[in-house]
Amino acid sequence: MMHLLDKLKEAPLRWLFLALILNVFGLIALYSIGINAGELSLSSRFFKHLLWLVPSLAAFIFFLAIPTKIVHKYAYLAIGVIFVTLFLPYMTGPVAGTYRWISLKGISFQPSEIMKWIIVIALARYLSDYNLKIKNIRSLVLPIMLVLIPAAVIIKQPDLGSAMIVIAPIIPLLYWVGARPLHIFVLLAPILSVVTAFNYYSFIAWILLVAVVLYLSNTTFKVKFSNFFANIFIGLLAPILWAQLKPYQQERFLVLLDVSRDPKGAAYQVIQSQTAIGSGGFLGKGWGEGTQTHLKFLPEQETDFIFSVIGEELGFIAVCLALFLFAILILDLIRVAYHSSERFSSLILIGIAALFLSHIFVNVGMTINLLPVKGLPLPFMSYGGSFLVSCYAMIGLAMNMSIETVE
Amino acid sequence: MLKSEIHVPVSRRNIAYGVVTILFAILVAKFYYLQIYQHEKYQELADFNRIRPVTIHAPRGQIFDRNGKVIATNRSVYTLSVIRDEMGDENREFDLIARYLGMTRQDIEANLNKYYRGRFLPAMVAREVPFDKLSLIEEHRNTLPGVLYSRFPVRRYPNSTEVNASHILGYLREISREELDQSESSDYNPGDFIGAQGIEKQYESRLRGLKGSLFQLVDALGRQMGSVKDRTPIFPLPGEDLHLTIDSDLQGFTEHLLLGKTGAVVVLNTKSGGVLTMVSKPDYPLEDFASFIEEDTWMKYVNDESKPLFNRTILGLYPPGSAIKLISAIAALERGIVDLDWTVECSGEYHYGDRTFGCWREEGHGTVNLLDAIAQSCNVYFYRLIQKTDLDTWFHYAQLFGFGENSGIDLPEENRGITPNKAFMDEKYGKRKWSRGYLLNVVIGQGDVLVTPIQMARFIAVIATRGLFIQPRLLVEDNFSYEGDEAVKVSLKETTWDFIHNATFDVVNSTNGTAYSSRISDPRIAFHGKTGTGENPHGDPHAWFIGFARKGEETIALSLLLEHSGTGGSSAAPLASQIVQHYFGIPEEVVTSR
Repeated sequence: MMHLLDKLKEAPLRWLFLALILNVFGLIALYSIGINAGELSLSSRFFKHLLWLVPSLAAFIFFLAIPTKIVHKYAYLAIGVIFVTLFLPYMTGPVAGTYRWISLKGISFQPSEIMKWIIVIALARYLSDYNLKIKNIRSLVLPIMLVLIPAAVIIKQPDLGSAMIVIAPIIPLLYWVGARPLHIFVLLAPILSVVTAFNYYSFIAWILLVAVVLYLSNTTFKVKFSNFFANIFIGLLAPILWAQLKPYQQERFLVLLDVSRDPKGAAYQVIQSQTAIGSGGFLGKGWGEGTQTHLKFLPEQETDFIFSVIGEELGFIAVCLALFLFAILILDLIRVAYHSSERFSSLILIGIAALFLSHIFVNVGMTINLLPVKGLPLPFMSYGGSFLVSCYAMIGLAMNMSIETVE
Repeated sequence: MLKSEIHVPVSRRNIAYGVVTILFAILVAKFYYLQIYQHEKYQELADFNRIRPVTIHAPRGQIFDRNGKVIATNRSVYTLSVIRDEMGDENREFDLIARYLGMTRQDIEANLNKYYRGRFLPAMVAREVPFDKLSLIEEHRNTLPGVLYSRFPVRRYPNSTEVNASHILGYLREISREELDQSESSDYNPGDFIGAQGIEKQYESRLRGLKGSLFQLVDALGRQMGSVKDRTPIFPLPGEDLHLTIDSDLQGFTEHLLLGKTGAVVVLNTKSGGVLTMVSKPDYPLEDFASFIEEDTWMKYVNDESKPLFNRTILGLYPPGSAIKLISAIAALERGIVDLDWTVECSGEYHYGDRTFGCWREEGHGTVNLLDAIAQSCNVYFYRLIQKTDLDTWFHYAQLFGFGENSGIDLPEENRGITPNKAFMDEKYGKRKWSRGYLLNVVIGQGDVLVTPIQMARFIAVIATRGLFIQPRLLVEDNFSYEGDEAVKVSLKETTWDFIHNATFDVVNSTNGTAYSSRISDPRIAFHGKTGTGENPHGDPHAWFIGFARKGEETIALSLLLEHSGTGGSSAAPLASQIVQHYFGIPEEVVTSR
């Protein structure tokens, strides 16, 4: 087992620096929010966020130091434990009408937050333990169940956003271990069948595309036939699925298509966020000068919409810089994963990259109305202690996995 | 266990790179679109969010009389408005407002419907909020987001007990929806006041000034966070102060003189045409119209059968009676139709065709010449005189003195009356369907002839100055003068003017004169006039007196009409005499010398 310092020497320290720089972006925004509110005390969110760096770095070191073998060994146990905790909120009672949080003695904790990356580890283990005939579609069933069951529980909490994030890494992971493009297509097809079913013509076009792809594919007639009709069936189910959504969730999807449909309700956050970002322009309004931010037009500005604060006060320049840093981090994770010859480590790196990417894309996409409003935080920037801790933990784990362990 | 290896093909890695790059490129593209391409649009939206323009109403111009005495000025009332977009729980807030102001929910909602212009604009829900109730609102401001109050100027009439002048000033009322739609100026908003009558309407654009704006910085809850630093407030431009030619002392005196009567008085300065006094009775107290007019107050005046809102001086049409005989006399002298020695034997009646026309004095005037005929107002003389000429000759001279035309006074509406000529008669009765006997009616100011009191005042004023054709006016214009080329003259022979002056002097000052009882014994004052009695099929005749009086360099002309009051000599002339004496400052005891 390698010594921690040796590990630090070998591991790509640049990931930590990227994380810290992005963290500074968040602190700059939080400082600005606090400065005008006249609340830059020790209890302000700026200082709290700063203080959370302590446990964050502790988690970072812990996951950097932990031997890969241990991670591998306890992956299933961990997912089992966390799976059980998903049900704990039903015992401690609802918080804000949902069962997302375990609330004990004033400390609340969201099990799905941890589930996100435990699933990545468990999937990595499964996909590395069994060098299955991954090209066979039937061998995909087990890992998919591994993801879908926790996701189903999380949807029920209800927390659609987290459930989607839990599902997200499976596609890149399967892809990474060599799933055929057709299989990825078959996996993604039902989702698109649901989405396109909102419009008659888009659905027809989509089903035609499915037919063409399946026809050209190199599978049995049975597979082609069952897939084709399964997609039509799912598409026809779409209205029923739609009816399952809560009205506020439906509104958030509809707002994507037309921001003006409900300016005081579902679209309010999106309109104010776009206004903040758009009015920031190229150079921004200046640090501490964002009117949308300081006059509180921008909602959830410390958490979900913190990137809008950057956009408003520091402008397009800073937005590009932050996005560039995020992109570098993710691309570098993929690069290292590619060079890693160890299947387990490589898969964990890809999983972590997928987790970061989905958070970034969903969060930032939400601030500019590319995606519906989902309460997903932005890594390193959004205020929120436990999420910051998990982000640093993932950086630690990623650096840990980047080191070739030759035993 | 951990020995399993992986060898990802480079193409797979590159596809992964590609997907990540594309996703980030999509984000950057959308940011570019928002921050660079649509920056201005969002800049405006952000400003719209943070800046709340608050209207500052311009104080309306004050109105003064000729001596600088204020007759209309302003005071502030508070109005309460709501911006619906900034309100929290509307229901709760409306209930609170209703409770604090002692109003009903219905009242508040009715106002809201009336003044609503959009979610983001203030809509007035209560007007003339007393200060103690306003402070209740202020105390609970934190629970009432989106509720704001502002000052609103309304009229105050500081001297209304002495001088009312309601028909001159007119009043203000809230602008109607139709006017808002038609108005070219976008400066009017629902709830704004607009001049509805009189000077307030005539000089609306000069009196109202220009609204200003304050730019308040507001937060998302609509709370005021100070003023916007990068926008300077636009201060309102006060309306222009106007000075009227009115002599409020004489105006007030005349108003009291006519108290309880129905009639009209116009007093003109013969040199400038300035209206010294303009009274129409009954009138309405200005105070009732000073601020927001209550519906029932308004209906009370509208439905009043004595028509207090109707300005009789410029809109009332009356047969002029004998006062118009002066036109025939002028025509006769100018055209040489008769001379001063031509006489008529008045027996009290005159036969024309199969009809009999009476003189007002049934026993007759005996032998009268033109001078006697005017002083004693003999009808028969004029029946005979008019037989020697035709309607269009009479019309020519009537028109020369402004009959049948608007006087051009600076008030929003005016009635030009009817002055018949041949064409008019042909039109009305058909060609050759009317006889020359009709002339007998016209010459004594009956029949189709209808005039307004202001036309009569101008007529006698032109006589007073021997032809200066003044235009009656209420506004003092700085560089206005009738001197020089601007002056329009009615040119008659000097002998004609001399005669008319003599005749009108005799009406008042000769023992036979119809207004002899109203003469003014003070030798410094030369008082001329002509009485008239406009026959009225619906009741007692209307009494007229028109005249002018000179003291030193100053000459005033007046017309006075009393509806259904008998003869001009007995009821109109004495009041006219009192007005003249008051104006020239003759002590009370002399007044009673009749």
